[in-house]
Amino acid sequence: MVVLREWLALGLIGAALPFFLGGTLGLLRFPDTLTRVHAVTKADNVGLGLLVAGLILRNWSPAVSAELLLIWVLVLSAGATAGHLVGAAAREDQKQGPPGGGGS
Amino acid sequence: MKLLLAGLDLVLAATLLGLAWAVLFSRGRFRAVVLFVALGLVMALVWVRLAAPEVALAEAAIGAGITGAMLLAALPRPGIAKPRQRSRLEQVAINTAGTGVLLGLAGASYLLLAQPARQTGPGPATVAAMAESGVTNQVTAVLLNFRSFDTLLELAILLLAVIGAWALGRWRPQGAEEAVNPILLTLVRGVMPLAILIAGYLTWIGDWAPGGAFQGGALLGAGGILLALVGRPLPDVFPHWLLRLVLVAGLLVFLGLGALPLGLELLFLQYPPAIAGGFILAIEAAAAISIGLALALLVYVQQQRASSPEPPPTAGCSQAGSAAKEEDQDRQTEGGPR
Repeated sequence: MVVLREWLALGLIGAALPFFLGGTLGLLRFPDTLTRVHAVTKADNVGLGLLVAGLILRNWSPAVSAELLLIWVLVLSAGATAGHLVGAAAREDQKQGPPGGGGS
Repeated sequence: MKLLLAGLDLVLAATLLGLAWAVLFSRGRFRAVVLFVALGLVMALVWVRLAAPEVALAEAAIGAGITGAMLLAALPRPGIAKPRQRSRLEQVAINTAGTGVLLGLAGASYLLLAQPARQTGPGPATVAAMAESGVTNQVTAVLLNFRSFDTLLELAILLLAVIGAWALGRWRPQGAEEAVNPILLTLVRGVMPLAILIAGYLTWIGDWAPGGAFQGGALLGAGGILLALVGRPLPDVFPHWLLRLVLVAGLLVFLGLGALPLGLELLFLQYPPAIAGGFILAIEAAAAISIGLALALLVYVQQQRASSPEPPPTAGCSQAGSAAKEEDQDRQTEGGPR
């Protein structure tokens, strides 16, 4: 049972990594601000969820699980809000400034 | 596993050096500030790997978070800074100096590493005195008992920094001019009670686990900055005499409790071992609140300066937030009580 849980945890953590990698690649390689924000918020949220699920299985203690879940919810809401703010600012720039804004 | 950790350490060290280089030589100040925040976060990971979670917490919260916010607020206009073209001579001088410093550091690290490690972890004196410290976390014992004089002076320095910054800057209510983003407002509403709770928790667990006044205070300061972002900065919400009182409360409580042992024929800051834990908790609680307010106020005054195109008038010497109320009525004019 313990071994099964351990392997399940490893599987979940392993499944999280491609999402982080994909999100980071998208952040670096996508052409403009909106698509970049899209990549990094969406992919990282899923990745973090899988990671947290894996870590909960590994630690298997109520207190640690509650802390991890709290971290997940906080990062989720902060990430979504930050993404929204960056997106809104980028759209504002596109409306006012010269076209093609948002590069680094 | 060992190989994996060694690989992680190497990647962290290389990233840290690369980021440091990028901060110093990046084009544009906005870019440099963002890289600086990234540097702080990687530095926090390095501290974790060095088994110093207290420093990691402080670095992430103060070094990356609050200092990053201060630097961002101090930027004249984010993103539009024009890079100045360096002359060839300047470039050569910078490169030579940079290489020299790097080589010197490499030599110094080699000398350090070539020595056999004499002592890892706390010194024997610290371990021996732990029973009298009143806490079980060795870092807290050193910071708030054995070397509490240093921490007392640190609090005084922070207070002086706030006074100095506010003497140079001038408070003006922020954010009221433009509509506050409703999504940000919702997030701040939800997160603020949680931030206060976690700040208290971080301060509280400092007695036996990584945490303490500076970590909790940094979280409170971040909360204060969030409030300013949604147009509710602390000087607009609370009476200014209260803010001033809270700002000095940490230092006053520290001094007061430090002086108490004098009455028991002990030395200044020499807490009686039996009740040292209570002394430390009281000092940390007061210090955390003062630190939080101080950090938030430091960012506020920066923000104010960054948003005003003209430097404040020469006679500027206003007290913390004293001009806020009056300027609500005529925000654009430069007049205000001095």
